[in-house]
Amino acid sequence: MKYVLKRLASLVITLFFISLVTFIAFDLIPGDSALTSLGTNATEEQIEKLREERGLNDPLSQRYLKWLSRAVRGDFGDSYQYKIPVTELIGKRAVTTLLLALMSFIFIYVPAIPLGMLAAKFTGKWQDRISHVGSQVIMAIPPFFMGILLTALFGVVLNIFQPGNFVFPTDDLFKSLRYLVLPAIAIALPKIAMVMKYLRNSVLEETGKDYIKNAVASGSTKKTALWRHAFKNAMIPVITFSTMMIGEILSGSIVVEQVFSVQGIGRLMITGISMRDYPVITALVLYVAAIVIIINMLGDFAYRLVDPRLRRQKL
Amino acid sequence: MKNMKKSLKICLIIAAILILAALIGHFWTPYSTTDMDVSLKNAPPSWQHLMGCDNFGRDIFSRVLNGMGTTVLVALLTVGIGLIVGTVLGSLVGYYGGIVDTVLMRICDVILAFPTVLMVLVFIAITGTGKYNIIYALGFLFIPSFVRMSRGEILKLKEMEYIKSAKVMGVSNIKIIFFHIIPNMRSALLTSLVVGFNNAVLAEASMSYLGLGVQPPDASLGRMISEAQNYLFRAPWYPIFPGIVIIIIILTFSMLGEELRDMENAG
Amino acid sequence: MKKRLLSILLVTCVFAAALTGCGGGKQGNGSGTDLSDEQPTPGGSVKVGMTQDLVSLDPHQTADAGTRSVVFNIYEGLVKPTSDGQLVPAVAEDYKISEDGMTYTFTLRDGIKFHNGDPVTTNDIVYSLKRYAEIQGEGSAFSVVEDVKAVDDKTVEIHLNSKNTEFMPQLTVAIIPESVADIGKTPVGTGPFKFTAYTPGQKLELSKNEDYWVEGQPYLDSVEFSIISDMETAFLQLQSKTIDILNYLTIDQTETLKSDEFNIVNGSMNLVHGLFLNNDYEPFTKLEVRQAVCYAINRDEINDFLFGGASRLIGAPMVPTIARFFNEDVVDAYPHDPHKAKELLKEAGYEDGFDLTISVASSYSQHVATAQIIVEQLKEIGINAKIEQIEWSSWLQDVYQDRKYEATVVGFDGTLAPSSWLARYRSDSSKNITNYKSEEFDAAFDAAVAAPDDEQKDEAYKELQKIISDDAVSAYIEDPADFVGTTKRVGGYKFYPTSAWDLSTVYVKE
Repeated sequence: MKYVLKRLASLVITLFFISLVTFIAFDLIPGDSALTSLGTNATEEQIEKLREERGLNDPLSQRYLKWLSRAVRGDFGDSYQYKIPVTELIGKRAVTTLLLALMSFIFIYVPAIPLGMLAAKFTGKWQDRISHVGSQVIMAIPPFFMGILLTALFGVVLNIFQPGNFVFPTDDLFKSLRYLVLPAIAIALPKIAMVMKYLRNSVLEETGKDYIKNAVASGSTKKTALWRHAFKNAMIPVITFSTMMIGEILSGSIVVEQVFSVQGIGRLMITGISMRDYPVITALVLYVAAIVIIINMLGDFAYRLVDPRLRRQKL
Repeated sequence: MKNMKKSLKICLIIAAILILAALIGHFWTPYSTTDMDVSLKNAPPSWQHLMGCDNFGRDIFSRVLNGMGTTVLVALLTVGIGLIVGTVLGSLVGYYGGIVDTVLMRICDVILAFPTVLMVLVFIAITGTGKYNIIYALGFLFIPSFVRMSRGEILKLKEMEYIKSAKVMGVSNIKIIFFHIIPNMRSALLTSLVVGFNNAVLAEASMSYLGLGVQPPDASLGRMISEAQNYLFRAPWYPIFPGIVIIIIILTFSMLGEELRDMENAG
Repeated sequence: MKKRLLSILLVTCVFAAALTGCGGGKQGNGSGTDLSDEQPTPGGSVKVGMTQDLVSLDPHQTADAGTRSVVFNIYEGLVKPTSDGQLVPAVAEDYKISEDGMTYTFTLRDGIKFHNGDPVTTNDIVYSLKRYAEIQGEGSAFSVVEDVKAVDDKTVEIHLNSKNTEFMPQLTVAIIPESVADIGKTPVGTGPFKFTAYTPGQKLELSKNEDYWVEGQPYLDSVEFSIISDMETAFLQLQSKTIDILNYLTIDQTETLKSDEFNIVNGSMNLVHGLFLNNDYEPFTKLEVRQAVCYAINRDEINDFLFGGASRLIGAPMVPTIARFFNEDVVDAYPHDPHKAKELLKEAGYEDGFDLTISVASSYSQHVATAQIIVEQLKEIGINAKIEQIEWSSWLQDVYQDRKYEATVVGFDGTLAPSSWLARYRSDSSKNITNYKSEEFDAAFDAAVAAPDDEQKDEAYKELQKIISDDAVSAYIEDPADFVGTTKRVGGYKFYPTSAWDLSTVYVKE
């Protein structure tokens, strides 16, 4: 319990730190949000007025403190670009991304775990080879290339997917789910291959270790040895990898969102940055950071569950 | 066993061909990589132009040959930086634990959580744009994932009997980390190495629009694919040949890694 | 089931925020839809793709071409532009300009109503013009307005503080109801379409204005502007007919579309596209060097590569669609002549060439492609150019605002007022990206704006283009061709010489 509290405290500190870094980052990068919003046809006065309105002329520290004092009360301000509260803007997209992530996980783990174990079981045999070569090839395909190929195939050639007909799950859950199937597959495909490979390799490594050999020698069937002993230990690198992957998907798979025109977190981040929509980016960075950190935390808890040895150890 | 050696041989041969091709492409290509010709715009593959021509009438084969070197170099160096720095840091803090461990892991969290585009923009603001800056930028971005990976491994390995006995025997911690633990992380590292290599190739392609990396008209495989997206239907050879070459490169290196590992495990 | 649309795209070809417009000039060749003799039928809906989100639905705040093109369907001014560049009365029925050119008197159109059903009053007009003047600020073209007042409930007078023969195009500014407080959130105008809904980053939905003052228009029941993240995706959507209309296709994309399923309408983007040179940057301070660059650039090659030869070449910052003021004589002032270019470089003392960095906003692939071709062309005369791609926001700040650059490829747009195309070359202009300074030009510019009659005005503007061409301020290339792809069922698409995607004349054949 104390461990959990400690981690939560560090979460808060990290988030605070991240928000500060974000503000400093804004100060460093070129670009003027007022100029970006208004473009080259605006008059000087219009730009200056907007700059004043957004408080961009204030010193960094003042802007940060102002933001912080409101943020702690849950007020992240309005988007420069969309003029609606940032929380509303992010909320809708976070639900979308969450849904997409959930679907992707199902598509990843349902096939990957059995396939990975099978590959380990049949090491060196033709099944392993095929799955091995197959997963290698899939992993080697650049994701944006794969996305374009998929939309071209399903959208133009087969005409069963209409890119751009995206609906928010908050508006129509069923339609939204149907739309998200293809993007979820695009996210899942290379990851299935990766999870499989991680699992297979680390199972093999475990089975090569003495304790498994001993277990087999002392009468456990190979199957029991594989599932009961090797699988558990082999999950550690898989968990590490998975936590990174989950963070990645939840923080918005930018490529997939772009290619499939999904309104998710990743796309909002990109437009936010290119439009210099600071309220949106700051809030998004924090949101994504919180997710990544919490997932990593859960990952660490998971290690402890899988591997009791770690429980004894202080982190 | 014999069989395995054969596949290893094949991988080695392909890798050698790739490296040779990249080297040749650095100094010589059948056609200029930048000369344009309206009459050859989107010309399909032919004996003169094995992979056809792109939207500026440039010979795709020459550009692939020339771009391979850049792509492989950038990818290897960035992953190399990430791997070396990340593994050493991850192993040290994983092994010793304590406050340094906590702080470093939180810093990794920050880096991992921070949007890449924003990070790269900050990087450019500090160092300026440039062809080689991409290596430092991406290398830096890759460190945290290697830190996490190696730390996860070391937490597991340091409880192993042989490490404990080494300790009892008075082997120094540094020796334990570098000679006993890190070599045993090979398998996990190898996998993340391959993934990282793949990511680096793609990241290079996507970063040049921010001002980092290879700028047009110079070629890199990733850039060629992203520029060719528009031509999937009109001139399919344009995206497809660089795509195939990237896939072959990544495949060869990952297979090679696997084979080497298997050979060691078997041996 | 399929809807149609028209779209805008920006990434690929255009530079939207500032420079673009959509349309003008030549009507479609080949399969163009306007000139056909079919009878438009009412009903149906259309989906238009665009790759840029709207900046604001408040018509007085909107400065970028993409947004202006869209809200053209919702709002109207006292006058509005036609597709051939004329101004016709819209919210006003008629107008008079006093002898001295200082007073404009407008008569309100009979029975004209806002989308919310309220009749348009002269108070609304006064409110709108004053609001716009305040938002635009002192430096704007609208600052010549001394006063606006409602004379009676049908008549409005606008008094100028100085004679300005180019004031009329300013009066296309939207008339909005005084009673609506937050016009950006609840847009209400008098245009052919009513605002229905806007989902940021996703779509803008409009529906037919049943009370529109043009008899029988619009034909469509509803229109959706669909915001798509990038050009590739947008093009896929056009191919799968998820959208009906997409603007700014590349020549390669037009060749991909099957002619039995899609029409290509071909107009112009109304952009002054070129390689802009920083006249304060060391080698470009010399006239010979700038001229050498102009001679080195092969505009035909660029046109062939990127537009299949469909763009119209230019030699100064004015587009051919503004036909009255366009100076044909300067178009070929600098024909492609590498030999002469080398001689000029030698004269200037740069016999061995020099290094040059061309900064380009990476999101505009048309600019990036143009820059690539230019790099090759400059190589021929010994200039070692390289490209630096930067983000649009960085471009705006570093290149546009701070002018920290050597050369850049970009396109600038303008309005029906000819001064809008040339004002940025005045020595004191805050938008003088080239750092061009010429007393001759400044004096000629002031004279052109003040020119009392049409003939003198035409001549004065042509003279301005000549001055810029003689000084080789930058290398002007072309007014890019705008290829609009539409599905077969859509007809009636029209181009404008200003930023407008007019859907009031678009119809569905079914």
